[in-house]
Amino acid sequence: MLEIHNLTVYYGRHPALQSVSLALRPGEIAAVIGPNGAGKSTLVKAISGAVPVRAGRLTLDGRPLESLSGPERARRIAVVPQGGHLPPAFTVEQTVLLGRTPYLGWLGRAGPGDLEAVETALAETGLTGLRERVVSELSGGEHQRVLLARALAARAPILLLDEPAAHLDLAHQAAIFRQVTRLSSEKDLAVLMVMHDLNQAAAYADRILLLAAGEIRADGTPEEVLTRVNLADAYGVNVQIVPHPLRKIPLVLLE
Amino acid sequence: MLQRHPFLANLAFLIFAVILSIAVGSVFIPPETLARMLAERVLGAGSGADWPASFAAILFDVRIPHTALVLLTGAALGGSGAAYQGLFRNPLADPYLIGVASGAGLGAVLALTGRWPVTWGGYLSVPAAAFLGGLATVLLVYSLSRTGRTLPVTTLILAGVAISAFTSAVTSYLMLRSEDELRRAIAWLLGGSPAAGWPPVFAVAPYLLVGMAGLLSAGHALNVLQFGEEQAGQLGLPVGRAKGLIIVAASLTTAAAVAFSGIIGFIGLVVPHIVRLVWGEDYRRLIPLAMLGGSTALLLSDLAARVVLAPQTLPVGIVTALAGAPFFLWLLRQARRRAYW
Repeated sequence: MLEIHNLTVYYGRHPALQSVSLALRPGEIAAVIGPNGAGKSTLVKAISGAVPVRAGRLTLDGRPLESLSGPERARRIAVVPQGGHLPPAFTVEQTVLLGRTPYLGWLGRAGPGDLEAVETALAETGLTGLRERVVSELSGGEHQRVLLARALAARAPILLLDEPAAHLDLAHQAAIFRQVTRLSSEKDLAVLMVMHDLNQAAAYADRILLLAAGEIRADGTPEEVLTRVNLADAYGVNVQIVPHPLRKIPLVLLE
Repeated sequence: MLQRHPFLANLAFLIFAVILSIAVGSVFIPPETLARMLAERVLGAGSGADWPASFAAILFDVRIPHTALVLLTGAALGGSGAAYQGLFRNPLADPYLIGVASGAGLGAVLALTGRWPVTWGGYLSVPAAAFLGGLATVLLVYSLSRTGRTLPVTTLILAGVAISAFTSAVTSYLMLRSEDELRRAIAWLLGGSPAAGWPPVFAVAPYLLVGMAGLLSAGHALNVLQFGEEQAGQLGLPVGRAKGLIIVAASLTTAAAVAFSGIIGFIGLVVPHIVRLVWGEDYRRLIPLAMLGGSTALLLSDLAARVVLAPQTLPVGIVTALAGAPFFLWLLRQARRRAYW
């Protein structure tokens, strides 16, 4: 279980996150929503060690994260970064194999266990047939699947995704989110996912964290978080909440 | 063959270039005579020396050490060029364009200003001084061109050009202040022409071996760094240590190349690109292939420099620039089209 207490992050003199606390259990999918600049990506970066933490305590199964080495942390926390840049000349397989970096030595020699993890990750994301393809030849949806496969190859119990469906069409968005929810339940992964689309957050997440100005404004089920008052407060727009016609989740409509 | 066995193919090219380089020159030594001379020297198999007496001196005191120095220099330029390109994630980075070669040249000339080395200590100090000059330059260029957390191509190259111009000016001044014979030697080196005899070969070898071993070990780290530093860190790579090792190893390698062969452009740029085009971008393979290819390319350039105006010898830097600059311009247009920046 990932536990965060009073996490505070500064960029220079500007606070990006202030006293953020949350806990993430295995098998749970939490969506992080909030306006631009709310600190969503910063939260992902702070948990994955990409930005320095000013104050607060981050623990994983009771162990402080800062006591873990880089590879130890990367074996437990895998990241699908926002707009993740991939080297255009790498092949799909080569890219996914680099997801095994936390297990490989300095020379990067891969053992049978690493190759098997890559096979599984390719299969889980439907990329087996594209393994020889070069990244620059991939479509946007395939590109995102490669990022997801690279993260899965690390076999980490915690998966952080920063807008994994950005710039994808509706079908590819749905495909990515279905893959993530299926993997989470099959492998008991704890998933923290930054999302922009509130209705998709309600559809795919068990729990929603509403972030604004570096603080958590609401944390709970979609019904609890997606309310007129909360969204007006965070985004400064008026919305209507109506029941989803097919499922027991709220649907957010702009007024 | 070419696609499936990159090492065999490159090794075959290299062996071909080495034989040409040893056989061709002011006096042509037929390969068959060459083989018998080597057999006699190495195995002591006396099958009757039917070649002119001068051949032995030409072969063992001139051609072979010259070829060895050119081979090592080419490998160093190819390998360090590939490493800089990977480290800066920039297809135009090479020891010449980012100013490391000029900085190393200044270091080497500083070490030489007294007089041409005659002791082993003197010889070994030249690459060491070149290393310090090269390392200082790359760190300066890097810190000057870094804006925030990014390293824009244009500022990197512009900073490299400016620092190059500055160090070259200092070098020219030092050269003009030095005495006659030394001045000629340095001028020759700055044009990019390998020094003669065995001592320079043995003087650069230890630096080169350490530097190249470092680069060869860093292939995986360079692969991970292609994702960018942030993602590399999230994948568990010790980014700071990896970058430090690559910069030191690449600068050491460049310095060893520059110390007694002078400033030779474009090998470090062109060769890694050709390797990348043919065999893909896995740095664990790219670095050793760029070393092999760099040796071949420089041996052939050096051969051209020796035969075009024979008996006069051109500085090899002229040949590599004539062949490499058009390639660089082509690459610049390609890079623009692919929106590298």
